[in-house]
Amino acid sequence: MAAFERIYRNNVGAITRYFARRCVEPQLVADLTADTFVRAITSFPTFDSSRGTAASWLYGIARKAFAAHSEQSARGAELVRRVGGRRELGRDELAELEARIDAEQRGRLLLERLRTLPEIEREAIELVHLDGLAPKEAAEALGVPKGAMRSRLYRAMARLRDDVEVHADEQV
Amino acid sequence: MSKFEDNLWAELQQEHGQTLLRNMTRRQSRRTKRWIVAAAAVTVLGTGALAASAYFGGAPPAYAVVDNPDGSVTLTIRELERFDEATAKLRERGVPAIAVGLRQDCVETGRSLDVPVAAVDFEFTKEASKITITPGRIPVDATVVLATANEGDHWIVTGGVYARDQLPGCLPKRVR
Repeated sequence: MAAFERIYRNNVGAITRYFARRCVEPQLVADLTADTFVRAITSFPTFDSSRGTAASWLYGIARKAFAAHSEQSARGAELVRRVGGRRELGRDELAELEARIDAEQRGRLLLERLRTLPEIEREAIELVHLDGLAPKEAAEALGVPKGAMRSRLYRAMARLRDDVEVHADEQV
Repeated sequence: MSKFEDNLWAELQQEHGQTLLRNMTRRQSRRTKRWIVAAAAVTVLGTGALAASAYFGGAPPAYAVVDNPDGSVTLTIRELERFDEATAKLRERGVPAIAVGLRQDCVETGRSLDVPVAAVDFEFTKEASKITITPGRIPVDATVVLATANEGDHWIVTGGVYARDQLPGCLPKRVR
């Protein structure tokens, strides 16, 4: 239990921020964070620290949790709440998560700007430049070959620069 | 930890504690068999970090040994160049542990023992490597053998438990 608690405590803040960049509803951020850790508990026997860090493993799970939520939202379905009978957040917790959502405003703006990039490149930039993962960890989280990650990042940054230059030219 | 994070942890334990315990047992029994081949990459501390510890007081030490309330001992190493020195600190605390080289051309001569994986636990972060050893779970006539190798931009750390009368002089580095 202690090993998983350590993983939880070392990473819960980063995972909450990941969702706070994507959602503006505190309850939804809380549910997605909880969903990620419930999935992590279920798949813990498959976690192998020699193949990647706990952070990259959890970000990989968080991506899947968010994709499942987006798919359900698109179908008009409710988020499947894996934490049995999940309670509503208390006032303190709501305030805390609202503050985190506010703090991620710049991150949300950056993600908005990155929308023109292919999804995998967008996420690579997010994980490396916003979340501070090493390119190798980002590759593990995104399930892409490690060797390809640096070239993806380089390509994505080059495209971003091009976009900024075109945008600047249009404004002149 | 914030209130939200504490409450969520309490909730996860309450609702999913049994699943977690079951999964931890499954994971440990799987890892027991292959612990010796487990290796983990640890980011090397840059020269900036080393310079910082040289110039500013209060910087984290290169390594530290801490006794835990459950009887285990945790060795935290931030500068893996000093692995031998850090392992010696474990011996000073009465933990039977030695450091050997990790090489691709090593022919392993020691006799490794099967012990519960909880006897030795690794945790790696960008900042430090932590090795927690529970001496009570190490057989009386056994020694924990640890090995590291510098791989350029990262380190490999691995180890195993060996019979004291048949310790290896090195451990083989598996090509990943």
